[in-house]
Amino acid sequence: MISAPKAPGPVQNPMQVGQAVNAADIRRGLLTDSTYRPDTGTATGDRAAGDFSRSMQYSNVAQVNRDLQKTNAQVYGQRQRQGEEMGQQWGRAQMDRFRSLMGQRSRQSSLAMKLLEDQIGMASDWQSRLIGMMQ
Amino acid sequence: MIGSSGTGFRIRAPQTIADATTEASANNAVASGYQKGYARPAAQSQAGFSVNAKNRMRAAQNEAAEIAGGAREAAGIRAEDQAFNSQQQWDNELLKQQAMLFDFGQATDKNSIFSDARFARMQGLSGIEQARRRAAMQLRLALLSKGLM
Repeated sequence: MISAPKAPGPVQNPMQVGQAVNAADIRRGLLTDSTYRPDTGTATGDRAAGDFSRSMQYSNVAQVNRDLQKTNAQVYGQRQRQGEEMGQQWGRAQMDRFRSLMGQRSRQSSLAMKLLEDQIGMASDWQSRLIGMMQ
Repeated sequence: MIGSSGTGFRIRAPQTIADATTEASANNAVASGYQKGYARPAAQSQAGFSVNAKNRMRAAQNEAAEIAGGAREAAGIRAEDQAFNSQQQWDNELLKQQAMLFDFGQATDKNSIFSDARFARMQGLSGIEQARRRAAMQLRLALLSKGLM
């Protein structure tokens, strides 16, 4: 028995990858904001630059997630297509095997029936001859 | 994939870019636009530029341009993702149709193989039946011709 091909599985979890990138980028964003003074609660003009940098990092995270989802979707689609192709090949091979098996069986049974038919004919001939010989 | 086991294809739904992800990216693009628009004039004014009318006008123009840029980028992101998602749906639909056609063909094929075998068997059986009747008839004729019946 040929076993059926396996269905395509998930590729990666985009959220996990995204979260890892997220954490790293938020750290980086916070480091940029180095001019903030917690003791006085003031910051120089670089505070704006820090905020800006942080928002860019968030933006990157969303972009990474989006790209990953896109790639995953494409890979998943590709695997589905490959899976279908493999399935078709498997199905065709199965059907060919089945066809030749059934053909073989039906030829064999035809032959057996033909033989039976001939034997009935022969028996009938012998019967007639025996009756002729009895008189 | 219908083989001799008779199981059809199961094509699952396509994967797409989640709406939430598209919106997160688009919103970030908008936010970035706003921030770029606001951050630069603020930085400039604190770096020693005088806040006169001319500079204010430049700052406002810069602000508007950056915000518009953010909005454009967001619209681009949304459009791109919509196009991508509908392409995925379409591809999946085609795949489903292909699978259905294939399954239908295989099922038809299987039925015809069965029919062929059944037909051959019926033919054989009727051949035997005919031979049996011929034999019985011959026997009766032989018996009749010999006056045994």
